[in-house]
Amino acid sequence: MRNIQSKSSPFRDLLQNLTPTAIICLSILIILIVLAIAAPWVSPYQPTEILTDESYHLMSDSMLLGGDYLGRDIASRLIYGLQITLGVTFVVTVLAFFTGCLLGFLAAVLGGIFDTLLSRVIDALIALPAIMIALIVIASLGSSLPVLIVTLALIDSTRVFRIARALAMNIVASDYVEAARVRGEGLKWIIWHEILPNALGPLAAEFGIRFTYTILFMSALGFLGLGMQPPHADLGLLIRENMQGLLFGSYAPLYPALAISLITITINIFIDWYLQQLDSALPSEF
Amino acid sequence: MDLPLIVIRRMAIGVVTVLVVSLLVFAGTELLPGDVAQAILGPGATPESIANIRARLGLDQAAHIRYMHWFGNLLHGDMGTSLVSGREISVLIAERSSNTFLLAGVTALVAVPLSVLLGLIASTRPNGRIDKTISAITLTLISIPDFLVAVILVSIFSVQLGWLPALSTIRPDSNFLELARMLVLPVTALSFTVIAHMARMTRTAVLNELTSPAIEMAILKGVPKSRLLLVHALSNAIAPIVNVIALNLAYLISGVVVIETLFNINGLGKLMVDAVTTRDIPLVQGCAMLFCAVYVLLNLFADTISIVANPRIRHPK
Amino acid sequence: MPNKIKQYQNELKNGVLPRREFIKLAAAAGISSTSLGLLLSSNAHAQTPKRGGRLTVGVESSQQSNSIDPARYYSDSDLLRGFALYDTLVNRGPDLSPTPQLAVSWESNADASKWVFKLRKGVQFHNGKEFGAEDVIYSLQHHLGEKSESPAKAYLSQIKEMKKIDKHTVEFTLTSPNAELPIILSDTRVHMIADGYTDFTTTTNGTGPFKVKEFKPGSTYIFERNPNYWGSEGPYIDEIEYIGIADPTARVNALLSGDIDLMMSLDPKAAHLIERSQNFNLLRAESGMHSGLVMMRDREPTANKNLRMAMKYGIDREMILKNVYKGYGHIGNDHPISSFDPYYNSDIPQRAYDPDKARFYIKKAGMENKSMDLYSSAVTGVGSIPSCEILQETAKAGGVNLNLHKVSADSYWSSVWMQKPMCTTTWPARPIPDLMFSIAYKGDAKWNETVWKNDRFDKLLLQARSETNFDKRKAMYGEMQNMLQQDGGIIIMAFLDTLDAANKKVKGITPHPSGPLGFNQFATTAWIDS
Repeated sequence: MRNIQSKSSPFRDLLQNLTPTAIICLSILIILIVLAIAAPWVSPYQPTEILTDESYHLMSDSMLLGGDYLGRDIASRLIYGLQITLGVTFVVTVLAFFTGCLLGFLAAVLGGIFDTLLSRVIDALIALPAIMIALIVIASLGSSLPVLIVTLALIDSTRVFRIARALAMNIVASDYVEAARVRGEGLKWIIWHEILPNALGPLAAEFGIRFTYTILFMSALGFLGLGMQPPHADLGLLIRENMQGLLFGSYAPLYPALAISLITITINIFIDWYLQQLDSALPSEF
Repeated sequence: MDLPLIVIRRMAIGVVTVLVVSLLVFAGTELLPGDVAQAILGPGATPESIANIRARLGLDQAAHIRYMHWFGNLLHGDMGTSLVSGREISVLIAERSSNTFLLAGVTALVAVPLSVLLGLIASTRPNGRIDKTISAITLTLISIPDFLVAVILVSIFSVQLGWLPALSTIRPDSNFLELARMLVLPVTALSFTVIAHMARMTRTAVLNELTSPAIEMAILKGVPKSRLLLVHALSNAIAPIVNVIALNLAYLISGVVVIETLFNINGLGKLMVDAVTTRDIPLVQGCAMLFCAVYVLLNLFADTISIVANPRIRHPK
Repeated sequence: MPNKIKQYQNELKNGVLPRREFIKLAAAAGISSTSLGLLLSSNAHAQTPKRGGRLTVGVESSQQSNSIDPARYYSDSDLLRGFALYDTLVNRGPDLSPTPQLAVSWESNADASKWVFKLRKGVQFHNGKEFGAEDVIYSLQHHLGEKSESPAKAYLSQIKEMKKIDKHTVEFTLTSPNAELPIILSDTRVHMIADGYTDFTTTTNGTGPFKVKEFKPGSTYIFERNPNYWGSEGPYIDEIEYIGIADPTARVNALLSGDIDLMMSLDPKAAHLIERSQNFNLLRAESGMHSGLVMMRDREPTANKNLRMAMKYGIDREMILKNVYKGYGHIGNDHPISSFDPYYNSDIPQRAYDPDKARFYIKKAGMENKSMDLYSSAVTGVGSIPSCEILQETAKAGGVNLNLHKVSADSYWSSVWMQKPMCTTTWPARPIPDLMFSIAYKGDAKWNETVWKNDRFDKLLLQARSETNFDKRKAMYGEMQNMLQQDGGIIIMAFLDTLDAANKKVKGITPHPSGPLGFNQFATTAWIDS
């Protein structure tokens, strides 16, 4: 079985294979995460403090990245925004993957009535546009952080379910699983030893993409006036509220966009590298 | 199992999905706080005028009676009338659909071949310079919120350069050139959001197949690389790829409210948001049923392709 | 000083201040004789308007709920379209005094309880029908009917009886005397429709300068010129299209790129940019439109006067005006009458931001550093949420801890406003204090959002209606302002100028204090200079 070895290879081996790109990505990610966690200590001002009556104040010694539309320090708001975005997105994505993968694998392996029922309900949820579900749920329950997290996770998990199930179906149709079944291996064994290792590659890629989608989806909700409650602002909302700055040649909306790009690109490149490690850990012949 | 039989089964499943959606949507819309009467009247509402409007709209009847009534009518092709504007929902949806399908269609024509191509190119030399460049570009494009992309595109190409219109008000009498000029910016902005997902899935799925034993065996047998990539790997990897394409197409039809709002394209996304915010329940339900139908059809299509392409699914042992 | 001059100018226009007196006062205020000339004639630089062309107007929203039924206007863009399709009986001059429109003259009996309106002759509806007394009665009845959903019902219901005297004369009998009936009839919803007309889904039948060419709520709004319009000037434009662009940045971009010629509701941040620009005009008028903070006096915690005082001292009105509205407006003094209104009571000292006093009062209320909920929504104006963010920050310095909730536009009026003790509100400009007080501060008013119940206040309100002497009326309104300032539940976050913008080629629009784009009437006077 080809992937067992890679699973058993120690974490240290993985780190020894770090390429320069992977090191750069990992460092950027770590810096961003540290910034987010250490926000109260590293941020020059309170994110809500009003420092000037000028909109889109230029960069200066006292305001490193300039001011926002209301006269607050962009750098401070950016650091706190990073905290909110990374925190919320992480929780949402992990929740979504846990639920989505579990249900997706089960559906593929068990098949039959379980698969049919679950697939119909998930299909019904997924057939409705994400933004529509979010609109209705948030309009019904009000816009608070827990509601936002659960809604986003629910929406994401349906997408994960689909991918996870499709991947697992392909694997289940393979000879290895057939062989395992003939050997009399149980459900848990098949999921853990056959499906999960084989699906890990595409799923890891999907994790990166979904992480980004969650950030972007949150900003789309912010665009429609839902989403975070002020004065807290996630990166998407920071872009949104300062967008008019573009008219004045202000970079205010570009910094949070840059931060989102950095998060996305580094996570995805890191995952690519990780996938490569998985592949190269494979024996070249079998 | 025969191919037609599988497809018929999938169609039946689609019908069930539609039914489940109708129930979900009906239950969901019942939970919406505030009601259409208040939403229509805004701050000007008086208790008296609210009671009047509620009676006019038939909101004083029980929920399950309204559901049965509505679903019965839906089967006859009658979606009812909008509570807010008083217009027929089928007409409203037909008007908006043409704009949405045009936008989604053009975006798909641009984005789908481009992303599959990019994914394939990237997978020929994994982690080579081209792969990394493609990866970096698509990731950058996807990581900027669509509204910022739209505003930046408009600032450059409409405000600064004056090459393209800032609004894409599509009219029935717009000629081809006008349409083309209008669609460039929204299609670009939308492509940015969908290309990355599709391209990366193509790359990952193809690479996954390239490391599969069958392909490794073929490599050993000396099958040419291009043939290997296009015929074996792509055809085997097609299931996840078409699934992602189907998801993205469904998104293009139902979820592009931000782009529609910014470019003033009167499409379905805007109609749906409008319906939810004004609590126009029949219209919300109408939109939901349409989105659901589109989704079901796209997936039926995707599943059929997967089954045709991958015999292993067709003949489970 | 400029405010003083504007006040004089208003008094002059209202006939309160004799012209000679105005010139003397203006000279004393250091106004040169050339600027004085400009002040005296507002239409100084008139050009001959050109006929023809198409105008595209960017409005704030395009929704299913948009209507051309005067009883079902919902948004500002509905009002804007309504004024192109219909006329009112009475219009408002730049000084907010009643001016003839479809009614050419009016008079009342001695106690102003019976009014006779003479109607304009030779006015045609879009379908050719001639306008007359029966249309007036039908149009008002349209709001007053039992099944009516119209908010105008609230103030039109004081008309007890309507009588057609002859084809062009109509008589109104009021439930109680009101000397201000003509200005009340200039309200944005009192539009004249043809007798018997009922279906407003796709078109209508009005007398306005434009006719419906295509009306599809939420998507397309195209009007064409009414060649038989009664007015001597205008309409000059052949066709108008209204385009709803909800996002303020996208709206400005569409103007800058030339996709639209005209736009309503410019973001104050962009106003400066337009002002400096070579190709665009800023259309600005100071206005009584205001953004307010409601504190409901009948429920905790805002029933506590000390808490309300803490809020009144914890808000930095100057900072909100500067940071959010970029100075395009005026600060308020905790009552809804603006400082440039002729009825403004200038004897009440302006309340200013004072965190120490805020702390003093919040301690007295026993709420120091305790969290209180404050609700707001973009539906009460784009500046509402930013203003609340500033309030949150300045109040914190006074120990007033506010927990801000941003509510989506759709459920704000139904589940927040007039229910949560502390929330934001917005009111359009009203031409006279009576209308503002009657609609939101009278004890039994339906929209008495702050639950202000004061017998003396209500008594003064009724007295002022029938008082014909300006000074006496001003004294009454002055006392009412004082009551609200001392004990009321309203904080005016700012009075906002109307801010619109136009391409330089669009001429003939005079900003008006009552509403956007020349009190919604740009369609009649605008023309394109090619």
